Amino acid sequence: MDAELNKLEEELKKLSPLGMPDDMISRLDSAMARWHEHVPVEEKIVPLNQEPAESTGNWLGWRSVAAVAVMGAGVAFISGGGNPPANPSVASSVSEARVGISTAAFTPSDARAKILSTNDVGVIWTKSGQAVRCMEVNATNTVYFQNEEGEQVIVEQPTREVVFLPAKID
Amino acid sequence: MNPAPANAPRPSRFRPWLEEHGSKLLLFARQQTRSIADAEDILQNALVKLARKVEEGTFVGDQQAWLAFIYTQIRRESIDLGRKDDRRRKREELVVEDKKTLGSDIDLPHFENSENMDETRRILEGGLKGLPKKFSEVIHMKLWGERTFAEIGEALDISLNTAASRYRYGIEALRKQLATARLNGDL
Repeated sequence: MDAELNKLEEELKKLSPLGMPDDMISRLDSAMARWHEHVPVEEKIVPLNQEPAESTGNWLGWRSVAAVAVMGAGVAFISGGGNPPANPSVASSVSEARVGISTAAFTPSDARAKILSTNDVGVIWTKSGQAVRCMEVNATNTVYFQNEEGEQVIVEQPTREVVFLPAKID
Repeated sequence: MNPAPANAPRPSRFRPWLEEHGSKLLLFARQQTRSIADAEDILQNALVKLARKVEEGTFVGDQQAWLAFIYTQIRRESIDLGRKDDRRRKREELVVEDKKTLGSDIDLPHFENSENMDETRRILEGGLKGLPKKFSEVIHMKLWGERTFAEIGEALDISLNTAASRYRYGIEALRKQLATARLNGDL
């Protein structure tokens, strides 16, 4: 910068900012001393849509009994050497607790659902103008079958569902 | 000397620092806002954030770095305040008036001894107020905040070169105002 601008800079520096009044200093100092009483705005905001926690729970009371019955029928076919079930996905994953199980009827003793992952597909609008959030839920349904002799068969079925949740749009 | 009232709050450890730097911080806050009340609000918000970080032990740097932090926070607070004001005006359908008709204290002096100032300084003060904000804020931070161009760039979210350019352009604009005043016989 040339000499003239440097000289101007020096003139500007001679300007002294107006002093802060004592009462203002006291107010600001007091506010700083009470910093813990101020909650930052970002801590006041709670996200509306949080990632669902992985959960396991008793599935029997939540899903249709028909699905369980289909699985049971499929297991009976497999253990009895019968024809493959109409729904091949039912028998897609079968683990046997013991080798050489009998053909005695198995009944469901327990059922569990475990969410493996969720995927937020985004917000879509219904024809009625409602905003809904589309969530893809990947889970594994496990049904435990047991016969009168205490033999157990576990059937696991992966599922993929798409659920729609009301979305709040500002 | 009168003793302090029994219920007077004890000064915080920040007070000496506040007494030393408060005026230049207030100057910058006033440059960023439309009134002394708004300036104090955003300055207070920035100071409380500093106090929180220092007391919680999350502030990176020593006391030398407090000033740079506050300048950055003042700028951010003023932007937030501007957005809130814009939203409020839209909601209330208020017309944004010329700031001179708002009846605010925007025209109160920014510098000491304004009445006794020589004409050159008076023109400089007026010129500073009239400069576009993006130039005057760099000048304020450089001359009275004693910030480097790198620190100014960081606070204003611009490059070092842009900060330096805006500073030179602002100073040059003030020089032209002085030259015009001399031509008009005001100086």
